[in-house]
Amino acid sequence: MRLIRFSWIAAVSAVLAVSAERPRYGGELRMETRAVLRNLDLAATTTDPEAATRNLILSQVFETLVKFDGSGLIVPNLASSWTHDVSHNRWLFHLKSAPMGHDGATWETPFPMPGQRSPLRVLRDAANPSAALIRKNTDDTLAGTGPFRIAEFEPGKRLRLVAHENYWGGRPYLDAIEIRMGRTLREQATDFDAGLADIIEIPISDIRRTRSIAGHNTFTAPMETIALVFDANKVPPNAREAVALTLDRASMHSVLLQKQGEPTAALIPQWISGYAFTFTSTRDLIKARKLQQTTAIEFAFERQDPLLRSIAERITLNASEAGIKLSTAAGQSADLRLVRLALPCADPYESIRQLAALFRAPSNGDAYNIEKELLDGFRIIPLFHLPVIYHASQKVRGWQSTQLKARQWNLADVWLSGARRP
Amino acid sequence: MTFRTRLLLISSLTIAGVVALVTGTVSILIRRSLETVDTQRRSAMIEQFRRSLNGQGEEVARKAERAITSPAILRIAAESARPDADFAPFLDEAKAQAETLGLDFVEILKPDHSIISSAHWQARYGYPNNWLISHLEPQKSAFLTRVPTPEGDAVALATIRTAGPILILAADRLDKDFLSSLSAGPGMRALLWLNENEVISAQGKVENPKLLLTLATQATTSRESVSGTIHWSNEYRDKEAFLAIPLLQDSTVLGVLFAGTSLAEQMTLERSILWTGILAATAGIILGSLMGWWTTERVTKPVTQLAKGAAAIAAGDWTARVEVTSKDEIGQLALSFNHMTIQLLEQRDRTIQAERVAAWRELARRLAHELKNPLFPLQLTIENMQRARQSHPEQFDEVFQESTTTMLHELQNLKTIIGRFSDFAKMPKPQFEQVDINEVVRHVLNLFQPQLQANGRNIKVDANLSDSSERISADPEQLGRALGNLVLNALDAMPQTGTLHITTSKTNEGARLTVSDTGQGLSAEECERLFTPYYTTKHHGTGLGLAIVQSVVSDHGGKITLTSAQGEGSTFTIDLPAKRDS
Repeated sequence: MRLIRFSWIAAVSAVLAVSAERPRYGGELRMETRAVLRNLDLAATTTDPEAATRNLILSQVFETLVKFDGSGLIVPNLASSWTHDVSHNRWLFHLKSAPMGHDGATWETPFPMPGQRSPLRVLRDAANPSAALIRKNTDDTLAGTGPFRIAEFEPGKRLRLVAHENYWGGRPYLDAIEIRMGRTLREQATDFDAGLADIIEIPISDIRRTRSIAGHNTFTAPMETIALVFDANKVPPNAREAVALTLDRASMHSVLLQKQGEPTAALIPQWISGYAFTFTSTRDLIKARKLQQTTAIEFAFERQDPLLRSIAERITLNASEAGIKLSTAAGQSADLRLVRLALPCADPYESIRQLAALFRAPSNGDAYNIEKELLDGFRIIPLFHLPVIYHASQKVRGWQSTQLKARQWNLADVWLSGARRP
Repeated sequence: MTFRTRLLLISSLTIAGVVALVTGTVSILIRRSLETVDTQRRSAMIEQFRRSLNGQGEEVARKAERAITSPAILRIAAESARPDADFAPFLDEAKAQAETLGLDFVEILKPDHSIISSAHWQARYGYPNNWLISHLEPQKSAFLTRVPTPEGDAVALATIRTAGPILILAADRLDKDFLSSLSAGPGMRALLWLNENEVISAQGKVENPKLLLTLATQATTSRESVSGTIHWSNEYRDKEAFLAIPLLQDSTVLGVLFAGTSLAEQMTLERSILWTGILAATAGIILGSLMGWWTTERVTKPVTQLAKGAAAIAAGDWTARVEVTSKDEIGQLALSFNHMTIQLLEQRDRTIQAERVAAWRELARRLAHELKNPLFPLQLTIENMQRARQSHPEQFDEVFQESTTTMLHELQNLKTIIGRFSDFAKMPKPQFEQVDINEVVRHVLNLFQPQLQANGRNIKVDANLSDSSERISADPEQLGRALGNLVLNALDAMPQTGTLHITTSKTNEGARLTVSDTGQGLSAEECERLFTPYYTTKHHGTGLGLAIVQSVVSDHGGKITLTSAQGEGSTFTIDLPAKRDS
């Protein structure tokens, strides 16, 4: 009896020992993404679907003084504190123990920054990727303060990062990260199944499938918005509103999106803007039938994107209930397009400003007014905010959803099970 | 058209007609036999289609049976039993089942027929199924139905199964794979007509599907098989015979199956026969022409010689003869022709001789008559002189004086008569010069002016002369004499009153002169004999006036005609050439 009891104790201890495996240094993490990084210019932020991922990659190399947390609040990053003069014209950011760059040089502290804006604006600007601390050396190499430095870069194809040994937050566990860019979801899945990738992006439709295989899924905070965009010159406001009134977002969210992301009538998610709830949508087929006057609307979407295709087909069915015929077309000149809009950063003003620029709309005033201006007249009809879903292999540890919810990759904390330093 | 040409034409057309008849008959017979074979082949294909349909239906049913026992379907059935059933996780299940079982269409339905998952139209989840025929109960056998898809309707073999409260619809599309599974013979194919824009074959979509619209409409309207021929292009070989069979589900027409046979070989064969026929006909026509030419040459040569001989005789060559080259009917004909020519010549000589005798008799009679008139007074005068000398010598001188006067007068008459005959006999040759015919007419009218009103006559003259002065080559004296004779003739025809019409006009050849009277006119017999010398209808005259007119006109190269009717007067028309042939 005692023997049996000891045996149980030994077994439980062994399991605990395994489950409480300590982080290991070393190893190379292989990631794949649809995003394409053609240069290292952080200011070249756009609203294409991969823009957010591109910022996440570069944030491993170049860091900002402050950053947004998962609630959209500004929190310290490189800077531990900051002060300003009475008129808010001159700001001083006190850095954490003079962080050393990839080139071995340190940044002086306190770090000055011009003001002449509202304090919130100054801090939000400082949190934007374009405000990261970058030093250009005489050999044209760029030095940042992030946990990894760039070792190799093939624009648009591959980026190899290696650990920054003198990172101010402590050396990362990983020795290197290999990021293959421009990989389709199908290619990523194939590479993962073949053991050629450790972390990949997966479509929503694969969530159920990947749950049954080794590894785990993690979800970011919403990083893109799916929206309908009308050509206002071709489709009259009544017809646009009629289409908006036919949309059954709840059904699409629960079935097509498998309850991932969130249905929305706003471009910027609630957690970033705080005002998204003021934009509402209701389904009213009776009113839609009264409003519809256009016999047929050309409808374009990316047919290679399974999610967009299924949403588009559902939208077509929804519209047909009100007698609106959406005929599939191709190209940017269609009357109506279903698009993915990236939310490049957690700054609501910066995000909506970029969207306004994308649609050649005015970007004066605060974020709310800009967004309201964009949505008035049903030129743009937001449908869903979607996260990016990653699937990591079983050996990847420390890849946490909590960080991803704040739109950050915590690759400095990621380690590989069984890794060894050479 | 000559006899030879006609003969050639008849022989050529006969040969061509016979060849055309044979060619047409052969073509029709071949076409009918090929059509019979094609009909049999198409019927076999239809039968095979039905067998394949049954086979595929059984396969669909088997797959549906497998589906309802799959764990996923059982999980959905179990989920449906829960009060707060959530079917969202099963969105892809129908697609997975379709891929696993190799089906084109799978739909999983709630008991209220709303879609849980659709393999081919995933976005329709939650919507009611619109291709399940509502009155159909789940059944073992497959049925034909139309399945709406985002790309348009498809025709499919479907079956319905139940798994607990949920329904499974499984269907396989009748597509190009199905059509290719029908092992059609060479030159045959099956087409599936879904609508006027979508017709599929084993190779994919058919181009120009609208060409099948008429047949498809006939088949769907009548709900019976219809046959017809489709010409796919202007190429003569691109022709296909079809049997269109409506695919029915109850009373609904789901599509039309076209069993087609290429008519390329048949058209090629028919074209070959046609060309062979044309070549044979052409060769026949050429050969027929040569043979006909050779034959007609032999047959028509004597006939042509006969025709030439007849033409020569008609032209006045009484010596013409035809060569007799055979003893057949043609030779007999030539002999008869020659004999007839000899007879005609003898007859003509006899007629001339008789006419001469008659003319001399007439001349003698006329001469006797003319001479008798002055001779009789002469005789009486001489006898009177003799009686006066014997009985009344004292009055002889007086009688002698009167008698010699009378005798001289009668002798003058005799001289005049003899002079007229002499003039006719010595008709001088005309001396041609350029003459204005109107001037001649005016001159003659002036000469006869006194006679128009003499002896109580009242003859009006209506001279209608042409505006232009017609100058012709003529002898003005002879022409005036001829016109004078005609005027005299007209005056004799109008003893008391009447109108003398004289007109001149220009003709293509020269000039025309007409002289008409309003007398009693002449009979047809008189008209015919009027120009005969010494013939006259009057109690006086020599009968030489109109003969002289005809002689003058003839010497001028002209022509004189007479038109007359009893009681309506007579009209003499003289046509004279402008220039006399040398």
